[in-house]
Amino acid sequence: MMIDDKPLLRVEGLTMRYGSFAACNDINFDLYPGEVLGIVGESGSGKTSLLKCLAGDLEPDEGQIIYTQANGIEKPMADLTEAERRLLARTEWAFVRQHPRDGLRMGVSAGANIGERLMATGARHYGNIRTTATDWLGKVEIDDDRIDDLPQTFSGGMQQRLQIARNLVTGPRLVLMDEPTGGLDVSVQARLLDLVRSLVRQLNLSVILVTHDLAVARLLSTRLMVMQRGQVVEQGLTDQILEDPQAPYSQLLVSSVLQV
Amino acid sequence: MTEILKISGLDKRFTLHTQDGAEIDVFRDAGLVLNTGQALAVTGASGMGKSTFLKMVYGTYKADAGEILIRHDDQWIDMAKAPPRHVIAIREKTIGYVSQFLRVIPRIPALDIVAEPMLDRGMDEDVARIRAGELLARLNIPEHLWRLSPLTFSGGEQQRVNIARGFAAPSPLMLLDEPTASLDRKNRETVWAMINEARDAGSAILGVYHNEEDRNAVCTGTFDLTEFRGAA
Repeated sequence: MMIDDKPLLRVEGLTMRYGSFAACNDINFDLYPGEVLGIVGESGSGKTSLLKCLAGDLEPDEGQIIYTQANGIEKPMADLTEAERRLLARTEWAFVRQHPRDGLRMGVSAGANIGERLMATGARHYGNIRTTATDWLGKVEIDDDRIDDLPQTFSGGMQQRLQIARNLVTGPRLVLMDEPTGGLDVSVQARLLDLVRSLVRQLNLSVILVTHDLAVARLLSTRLMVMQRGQVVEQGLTDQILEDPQAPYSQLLVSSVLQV
Repeated sequence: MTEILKISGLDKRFTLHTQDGAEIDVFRDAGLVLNTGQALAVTGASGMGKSTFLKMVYGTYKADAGEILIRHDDQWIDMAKAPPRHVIAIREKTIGYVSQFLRVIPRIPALDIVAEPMLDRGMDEDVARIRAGELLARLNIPEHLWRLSPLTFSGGEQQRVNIARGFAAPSPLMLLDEPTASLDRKNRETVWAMINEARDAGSAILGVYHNEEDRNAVCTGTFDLTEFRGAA
């Protein structure tokens, strides 16, 4: 039919163990361009371990992760050289971490946090870098007169928005997000979710989003994967998983949400 | 008149694992054919699965058996088996679903909510906004509210924003789940007119309606789910 594009990412039989304990057990899925895949499940279900394998922070014990690069080359992650990985991490991938301090450089200014990634992809003209950085501060709703301030002087919500700007400024093709709204006030969360939602649409980003918050998953994801004890118990359309969950654990998860 | 929806052998049961695996057998072997320009009312007593039937066509509920063939880009696709990204593509272009409930997203103004489906289909932003305003005006949403998030609107106002959104860019197949429930007379008549205009323009309409008056105002026929009732 109309969609005959290739998956951006293919995960096949991925297993990751801590000793004899399988944090991720035989995970399989494809991610296509423009899809936002939410991974939900209680803490300890293996969702963050899976994300870390995808980010290259952890090595899977079995299975493979195959990524299709912008130039069309399709290669298992394990076959990439360290230099290739570093290049992709700067240009095509982004990782928005739960704690902004893990994803920001706290010792340099907000503008430098954004500009650094631009320079890593080859930008050299100072004026252009500063203009782009200012533009992105505006996109993530940070006043441009804060451009020379250190992230330490920002609130948690502002730091998270800065981290998003730093990650998205180079137009990555694959964005990993680990609980991007965790630890933020509800009012700040709404603003951040709205921002992420509009950026995803504008930039046609492919995103893998780990969250334990089903409302966040509903708002941002097109597709959901439910994990329990390291395994995927169900995957499908977001509204189908939330309104007609099939697996016993998905039903439990959905029915446990308090109504407000 | 061309066929747009062909359903056959459709079964639906709910298995409630969190409640001792209780099974609810909703319907069995249900089928229908719907043509463009036709408007069928799904009928049957409360609990017969009318809304469930619509949600299965939209892909929100899973089918236990049977097929739901939809003509999308001149190809027949089975919604009961299509992978998620295909279902999303089919929804964008071919199926619209309108209920009485608006899913409010914090901070998004009413006008943008209504304009969004038009923008998704590539309409010019200014044109989409003008049309969104016309729809809101037609459904009696005062202009000073258009720039606000419907979060604080009354239930009836939210419902009308949702209808404006649903009819902003009518799809070849429209699924309507009690769109007029709890609206006053004047707004109900406006919604009837909007449904009939969509049908005149060639949309096929499958709807669940609150009462007979609604059905008479907008439908060309009925589809009675009672015939397919599952075992109790």
